[in-house]
Parts: sequence; structure tokens; C-alpha cells
Amino acid sequence: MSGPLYQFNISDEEIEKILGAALSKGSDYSDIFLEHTIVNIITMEEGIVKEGVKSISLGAGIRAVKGEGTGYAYTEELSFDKMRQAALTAAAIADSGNAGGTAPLSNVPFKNHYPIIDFTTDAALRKKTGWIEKAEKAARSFDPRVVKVSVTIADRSSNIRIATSDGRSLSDIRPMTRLSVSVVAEKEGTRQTGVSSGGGRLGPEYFTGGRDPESHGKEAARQAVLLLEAIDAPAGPMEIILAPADSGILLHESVGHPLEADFIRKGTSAYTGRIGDQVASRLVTVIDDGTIDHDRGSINFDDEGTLPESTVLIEEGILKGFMHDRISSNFFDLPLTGNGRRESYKYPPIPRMTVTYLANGRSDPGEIFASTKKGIYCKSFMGGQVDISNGDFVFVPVEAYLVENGKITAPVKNMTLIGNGPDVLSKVTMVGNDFAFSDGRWTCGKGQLVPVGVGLPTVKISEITVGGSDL
Amino acid sequence: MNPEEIKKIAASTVRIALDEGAETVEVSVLSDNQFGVTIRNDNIENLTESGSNAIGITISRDKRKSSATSSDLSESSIRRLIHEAVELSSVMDRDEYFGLPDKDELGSTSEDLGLFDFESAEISTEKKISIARDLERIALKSDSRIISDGASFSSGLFASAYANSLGFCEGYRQTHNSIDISCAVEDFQDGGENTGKKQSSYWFSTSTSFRDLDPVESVASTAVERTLRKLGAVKPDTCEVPVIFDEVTARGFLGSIASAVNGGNIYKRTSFLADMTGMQISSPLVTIIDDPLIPGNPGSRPYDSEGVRSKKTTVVENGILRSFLLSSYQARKLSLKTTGNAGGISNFFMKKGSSSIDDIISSIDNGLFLTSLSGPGANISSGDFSQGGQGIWIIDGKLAFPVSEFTIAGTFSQMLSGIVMVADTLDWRTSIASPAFKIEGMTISGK
Repeated sequence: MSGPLYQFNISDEEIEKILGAALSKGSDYSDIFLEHTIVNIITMEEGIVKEGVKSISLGAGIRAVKGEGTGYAYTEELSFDKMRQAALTAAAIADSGNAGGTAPLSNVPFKNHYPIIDFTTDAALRKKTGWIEKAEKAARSFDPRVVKVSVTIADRSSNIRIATSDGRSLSDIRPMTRLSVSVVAEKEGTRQTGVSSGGGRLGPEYFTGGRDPESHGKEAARQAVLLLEAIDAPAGPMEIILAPADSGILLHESVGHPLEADFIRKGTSAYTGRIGDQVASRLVTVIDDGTIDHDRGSINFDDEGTLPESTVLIEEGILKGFMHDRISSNFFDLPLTGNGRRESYKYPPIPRMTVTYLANGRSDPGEIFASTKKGIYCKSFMGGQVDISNGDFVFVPVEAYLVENGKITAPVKNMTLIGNGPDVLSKVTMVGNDFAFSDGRWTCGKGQLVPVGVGLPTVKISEITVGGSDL
Repeated sequence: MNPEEIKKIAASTVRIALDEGAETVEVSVLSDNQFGVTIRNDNIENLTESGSNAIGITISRDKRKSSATSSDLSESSIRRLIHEAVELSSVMDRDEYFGLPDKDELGSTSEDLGLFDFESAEISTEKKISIARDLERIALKSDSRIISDGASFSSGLFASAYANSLGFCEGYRQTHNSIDISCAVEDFQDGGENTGKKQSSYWFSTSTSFRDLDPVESVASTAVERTLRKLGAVKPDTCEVPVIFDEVTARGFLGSIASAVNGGNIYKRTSFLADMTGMQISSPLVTIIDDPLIPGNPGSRPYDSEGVRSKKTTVVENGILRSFLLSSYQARKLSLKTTGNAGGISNFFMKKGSSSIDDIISSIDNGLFLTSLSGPGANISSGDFSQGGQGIWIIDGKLAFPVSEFTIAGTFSQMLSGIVMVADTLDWRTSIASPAFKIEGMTISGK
């Protein structure tokens, strides 16, 4: 059903008329985003395949842009009349000026960053329950202290078509596969949770390409059982070593969000007006790249029809650029970066990250540990949050250890790490040569949810405040 | 669409699904109209207006349950959706505990919950835009340092219906209004290390009835005050001190408690409160209630998401855990009765105490007035709590200076037991409400 492109049954002439209606009150630009999305979620819990949900959504969002202003409306009935009516509602953002014309539509070629043969969405239901059962069994049989296992497989295929008043037309199917396992382990009244998940813009080959369901089951169980023995985390400033891949969430929060250009344009980001400044240690190069093959955060084009690229945000500590949508790129008169993204047809696009990573360094990870007297080694994360205006961010490790005299000692639990973006990045004292991307599991919330990717080598930060309870 | 139309769709969908071989059927239909405008620097930054529909169908055969949802309410699409659900149910395992609620629990309350405001449905777009404009203008005028991050007016008209194969079919309408403003302000000394640093905050008002929105003057001045009072925030020392959770952070804390008493987390044992019924889990000053029948409140509803008649539930009474919040399925798993909480909390609140906020502040020689919490560090499964914070330091009973970039940590059990004063006002802007309260001692991690 999701194999070929979904036919929205609307002609180019009709689309041009709709885009014209959106411009009719004097807007500079208009676009239409047509979407047909299928989502399947199947969950196994308490040893049975318990929840199964299929969701179908179909709609068209029409946007009119005038300067920094956006008018937006959507409809779930894809008739010409309804879409034209939505276009006129969106047009109301402008109330003066001459109606501009639309350019004739032509298809924009793009490179496919997630070519796949089969969609997980189309896989036989029995095949999906089979993967779930394998993960569940692997988790349950890992250790007798495992008391609850929950496994979810979520897949998605989104057919989209974007057409703009400047004549760009693009169509794509965006696949997504994600498996997640959550385990509760108990011992003498102590209860801990472990999680493991991954996926990306790929099909069933995810499960045969190295990350089989069993590996996620075992990993979640290993974490939950390990945490039963964890000691309370210390409180106060300490050295921090970040493990490769998932630790990129720190980068996502600390500099990613404040470098999204809507905050820059509004003057509310801590990085406003600071291009060319030294904002991080010379070891730090940060890139946002929506073209990483099959990554959860990758896109063939963004949700306003711009092709993604590799955008250098920070180069050897110097602030180089921001992540733009069409509005901010016009505002600053800077090139588009392909970061205009949206959750669905219900939302207008805004600047969002795609795959944000810290480039590989030169240090051997062994040296990084050897140089650490007393610190915390953070291996996997629950998530984080940032205050854009001052750059203060938090992130919460799930699996973390004390490091004493260069050696990993006890696992620690219950802590939030807090730092200030510019401050923490200036304290990056070593960057490892073992870069890795995170297995696809992250979803970013900024009023709208979009899938993102992160990546990082082993990194040492000379000081972050560790918020444990042990004084 | 009006409630009668969507009730008809819900009822006919139940019949079609039964014809297609489903043994139990539940259908919910939603229809809403949303409007939103954001003003920034006196210009319209965003104007959105849209109508949206959704249908959700849950069927079961031989206790094998599945669901399907769609934004398309046409009959042909609904028929396809039912086929998808029936196919999906064939790979589900039998769940002995699955079933509809008992027939005598189904029903809609006869009380008038004041959920729909005719005036709200009539307010013109021009008026909404001018209210957002006024809100921003007043904030910007009150202090020249203020940067606007936007002032908004949003409103919604919402209709829902629910029908099941036991013959239940009801619907109702709701209105919603809200205004909000976000501000920022520069916060650095020339040449200092805080280059580019700003402080920001926001305030909002929500209501069912348009006339119950707070005046724009008070929303603007609260947002500005909350922003300016963060200027010059410093990192506090690492220490253990008494902490006051203001009404915003108290609400966040109570939201975690709402998850911890949710029947799903109880039967899955992912709550630190599993097995604790009848036990003293908190200081006797704490009474927590879920009440869906408060007229005009944001969480009020005539029945829950499986048609069970709404009723009030005392969750914690003077510190003793009395009840979890349960759907019929969760209740069956725990050999209990549903509390009418399928779909979660309604209006979930901590009862007001007897101390004024000034008395609470003046009771502290050296401590923290906590105004903001951040991050996913509230773990209701293990019961551990560690979050990022912002606030104002208290010295000798007075708010002294702003603090930020610290964390606050403990366990939920210690925190609940440590509540020694509860404030005498309750802020009902959202469906979770808590008075401010003071916790005797918590670990602050800073310098």
C-alpha cells in the first residue's frame, strides 16, 4: 500500500491556483504540503502482544509568508475547493500590496539518502510480532531479577508532496522503523528501568543488519540489572567523560537549539550576533547534516522543499553559521540550509536540527580515561532540555559510572547534569578518535515533534555540575 | 461538526464494526476548530486557523484487541479502517483482562460542567488579534529592556462523541481560550564571560469562558516581573537547604505524582507507589484529589474515555494513599473498580493549606524559592528525582537574589514526607493544580 507514491489526485494547474490564492492578499511566498502517513505501533507487554494500533492521516497545509509573518491553514479534505479555501485563510497574513504571480511548477531533482526495497509498514504482521517476541524473550531470559518487559515496534511511511509559489515541486516517501525495549528489574524493594531502542529511515533490513531484536532486549535488561547495584550519584562540579554516539544529545541541547535561526532572528538566543566569535574550545567542530544515509534525522528535502546539506555551525571553536528555514534565510539574506521542518500538515515549518554531531578528534579514548582523576562517565541518556536565552541546559544519563584515577569503578544513578552551553563547550579538553552516530531513537520536541539524529566521539569536559543527592 | 452529527457517525461505526465480525467495539470521534495568532514587535508573526477531524476505533474478537485511527470520516474510509483493525486483531494475543466497562458504570453526569461558552464561539478574529497586540504592547511599555518573544491568543471549539457496543452513545462540546506572552532580557556585563546571555520567562491565562481570561495587564506584568527577577542569576553553592516549590514547580511535581498513581504504571510496577495503598506516603498536610466535576475547569468531563460516569476520587488523604486512578482494564488487572480515569487524570490537585506564601518565605533563614524545573530527571519508576532548576535564594526570610544552573535532587518519598507547609492559594489554569509548598531539606548541586 505504501510502495509507490501516493496519488493526491490534484493537477499542477490546480496547485498553482491554490498557491496563487495564498498570495492573493499580497504575500511574498506560498507553499503547500500534502501528506498521507501510515503509522503502525505494536506493543508486547507482560508476555503477550497486547496493543496494536494503525493510524492513517491525510491532509494538506497551506502557508502564506509575508516578511517574518506566516499565515497557515490546513484541511483534511483534499478537494480543490477546500484547499483553495484554506489558502485564502492563510492569505490573510498579508493585508496590502499587489498579489504576486506563481511560477509554473517543475520537479526538483534530489538524491535519495534512504533508498530501501521494502517498507516495514508493509511487512506481514506475523513478521513484526516475531521480532517483538524475540526481543522480549532475550530481555526476560537475561536475569531472574527482570520483572517486566515491554517491547514496541513502530513503523511509519509518509508520502509527501511539496509545491511552492516559486515553482518547486518535490515528492517523496519517508520511511521510518523504530524498535524499543523497556525493562524493569527489582531486587529487595529497589526498582530500576533499562531501555534500548534504535532504528532509522530504513525497512526490515534494520533487524538483519547488525541490530537484531535480541540485542536490544539484552541491552535493556543489562542496564536495568546493572542499575540495581548503582550507588547514589555525587553532587557538585566534576570531570565528565561522554561515551560516543548517544552523548550527542548534550550537543543537541547545549548548542543545537540555540543555533536554530528563529531564536537568532528574534534576538532571544544566547548566540545572537556572535558569528565569528570563539564560542567553544578549539577542539570543537559541530555540524548539522541531513544527508547521512538512513539516519533517523535525515531528509531528502526539508518541509519547504530545500535540499539538505552539511552545515558547519562551529569550526574549531569559532561560530560559523546557523540552521535556517526560509523566513530566517530571507531575514538575514543568507543561503538556505535545509532545516525548515514540521511534524505534519498541521504545522508550518520552523528551523529544526536534522543530524547534529561533533566531528572526530585525535585522542585515544584510553588516554582520555587515564587523564581523569575523579569524574563521571556517561554512557546512555534519557534526554535533555535547554533554556535558549541563557544557554543553561540539563541532560539526564541512564547508564553512568564513577571514574577514579583513570579507572571505571561503580555505576551511579539518579542524577541530572547541568551546564551552560558556551561555558561547557569551552571546557572540552579532549576529543576522541572513535566517532559514532547514535542508533536512531531520538525525537526532538519544540512545539512540534520531529525525528533527529546525533553523534559524537568520546569527549572529555573538564567540569560540569553533577546533580546527585550524595553530598 | 456539531455533537449530534459526530454522535451519529460514532453510533453507525459501531454497527458497521459489529457487522464485520467485531465482538466489542468502541468508537470516539473528535472534531475541532483551532485558531491562533502570535504578535511580535506589533506585527503578526503567525496566524493559523483550521478545522480537524479524527476517528478512533477499538475492536476485539476473542479478547484480542486492536485499534485504528484516521483523520478521514467518510464512510468508505471508515469501512477500510475497520477491516485494518479486524486484520490487526488476528495477530494479537488473547488478553483475559480486556473488556468494556460494566454496563452500570457507563453514563454521563447530569451536572452542568460549564464546558461550552457561547460567547467564545463568537469572538471575532480582529478582537483576538487586538488582545494579543495589547498584551505585547503593555509588556514592552512596562520596561525598555524587555525583548518580546511573542504574545499570543489561541482558542478552540471542540466536539467529541463516544459510542460502544453496549449501547452507550454520548457527546459534548467544549470551548477553550488562552493568552500568553514570552519575554527575554539581556543579562551580561561588558567584557564579562556572559556575552550574549539573556534571561527569559513567560506567563499565560487559560479559560473555558472568554470573560474568565485574566486581564492582559496582569498577564503582561507577571511575565515581565518573572523575566526581570532573573537578571544577574548566579550559581548557588552545593548544599542542603529547605526549598519552596512555587505554584509552577509544584504543578510539575504533582504531575509526576499523577503519573505515579496512574493504574497503568501501578499494574506494570513502574511506579514507586505500587503496593502502597493504605500507607502513609506523605506528610499529613497533603491531600490530593482528582475531580472531573468542577464546573468550568480545564479537566472537567461528563464521562471518561470509555464512557464511565465521572466521579471525584480522593487519591491521598492527609498523607495516606487511598486510591489509584484506574480505567476498567487497569482495575481488572488489580482486582479493583474503575475510578473513571480511562484517558488519565481529570482535574488533579493538591488541596490548599493554611499558610500564606509570605509566611512560608519568612520561615526560611537560608534556602531556595524554586521557580523553574527542567529535564527528564523525575523518575517515577525508581522514585528518584533530580532536575535542573532556577529560582530565588532566600536569606533571613526574604527573597534575596536569583540563582540558576543548579540541580535539585532527592527521592519522591523523601520529598512528599518532607512537606512542612502548604500555601493557601490554588492556580487553576491547567488540569493539574498545586498550591506552593515547602520541603524541609533537599540537595542543591551548584558550585
